[in-house]
Amino acid sequence: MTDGRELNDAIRELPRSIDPPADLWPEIAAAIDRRARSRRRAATVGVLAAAAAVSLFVAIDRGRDRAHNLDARWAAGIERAAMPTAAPTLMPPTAEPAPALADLIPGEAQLRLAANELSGAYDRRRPLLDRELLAVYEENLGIVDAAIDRSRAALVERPDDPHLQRVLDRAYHHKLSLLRRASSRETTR
Amino acid sequence: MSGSCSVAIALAVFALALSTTAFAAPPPVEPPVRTKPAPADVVVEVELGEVDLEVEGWAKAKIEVDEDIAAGWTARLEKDGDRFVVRIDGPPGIPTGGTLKLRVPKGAELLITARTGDVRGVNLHGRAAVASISGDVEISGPATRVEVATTSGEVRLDGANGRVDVETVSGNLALSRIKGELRAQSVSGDIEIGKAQLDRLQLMTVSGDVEVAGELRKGPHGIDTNSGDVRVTLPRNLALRILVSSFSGEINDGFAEPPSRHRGSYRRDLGKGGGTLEISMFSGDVTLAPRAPG
Repeated sequence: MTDGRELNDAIRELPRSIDPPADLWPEIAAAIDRRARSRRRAATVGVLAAAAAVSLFVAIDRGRDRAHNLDARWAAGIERAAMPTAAPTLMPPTAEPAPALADLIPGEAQLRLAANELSGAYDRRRPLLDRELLAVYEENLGIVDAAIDRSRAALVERPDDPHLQRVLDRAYHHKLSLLRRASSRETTR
Repeated sequence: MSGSCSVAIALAVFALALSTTAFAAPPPVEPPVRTKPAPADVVVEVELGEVDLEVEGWAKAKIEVDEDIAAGWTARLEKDGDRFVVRIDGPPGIPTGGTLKLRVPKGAELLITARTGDVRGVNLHGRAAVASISGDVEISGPATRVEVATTSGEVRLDGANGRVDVETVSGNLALSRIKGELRAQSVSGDIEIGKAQLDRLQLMTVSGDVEVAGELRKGPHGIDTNSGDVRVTLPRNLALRILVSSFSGEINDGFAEPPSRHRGSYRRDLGKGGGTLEISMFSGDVTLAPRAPG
């Protein structure tokens, strides 16, 4: 009985709370800091992801608007097609590297590069096209490629002929314009 | 007794009311809005898909939609901000066909998208922009701005007075009585221009043939083709300098007395002080012909 009372007294004298030992605190503080930073990072990533998603949807939406605006498309002209656009440059190269050809007109390498990138986009689009539409694009791409080939062949013989240079340049621009149309969701769905 | 009678009457009234409600005709389904007042220069957007469109410009300040569409589909006219949108609604996955008939103020601006549906517009005085895949497009009236882009559809325009831009892959273009500026491009589609009065003409094809008949003023005008043939028919009294460059094609000059044939580069001056028409090609033949009297 006496032992029990003494035990109770001893318990009552125990402190209600104690501070952690000073040497443990740096680890806990570091852990809290790490978790807080992790949460901030996660929040930042989330915000960035959300912003990216919004930007993507806005871009898609604007793309649809642009597709509807034929005026802008015409104003852009086939000349714009010569410039690699943002979307194709994000795509991995799909075509085998062609043997290097000497430029017969200024910027021919860039025209070929743009055509290769658009061809990659078209190749990915092809399985989704119905047979008739695919036939139209295949036939006309063949026509344009033949025009490029014969214009190039003539230009090899007469490399300084400005008329042939213009003919070849036009043929490339026809190809870019056609590939842009053939690889566009708006004009093939 | 009187208490139980009252309860019975109350129950009977309640049951009657309940049955009346249960068997009453369902509330009428509001039909899609088919007519709306609209300003003269209203913008109307039409999404066609496989359905054909007949659109007519009229003098009334309103839009009216009528339809003959199969398989439970229907057309709906909605206001979206400042513009009106005509949509075809129906069960998904079920193909549809038929014709949508639309009347708009004749100065309206039309923005039309189609896949296989044909578009036929008459008496259009404003702007008409049509994006199609394989549907044919036919537009008449003094539209101030016409823009058509199609892959394989045929395009026929008549009477536009302003600026016309047409782009196709394999569809043929027949453009008549166009006044103002005209730009057209195709890969294999032929381009035929008749009775034109143009301040500026720009045509480009790869293998498509080109025929131009009319008056070419001011300029500069240009015709580019790789292997297509070109025929230009002009009035004898027109003032125009024609410059032709061809790698391997033949140049036939019907203005010369007697008519002559040439290769390479060639120049023909008609009158003095006019514009310039430059024809550039690789292997196609060129024919310059005077318009027949009358």
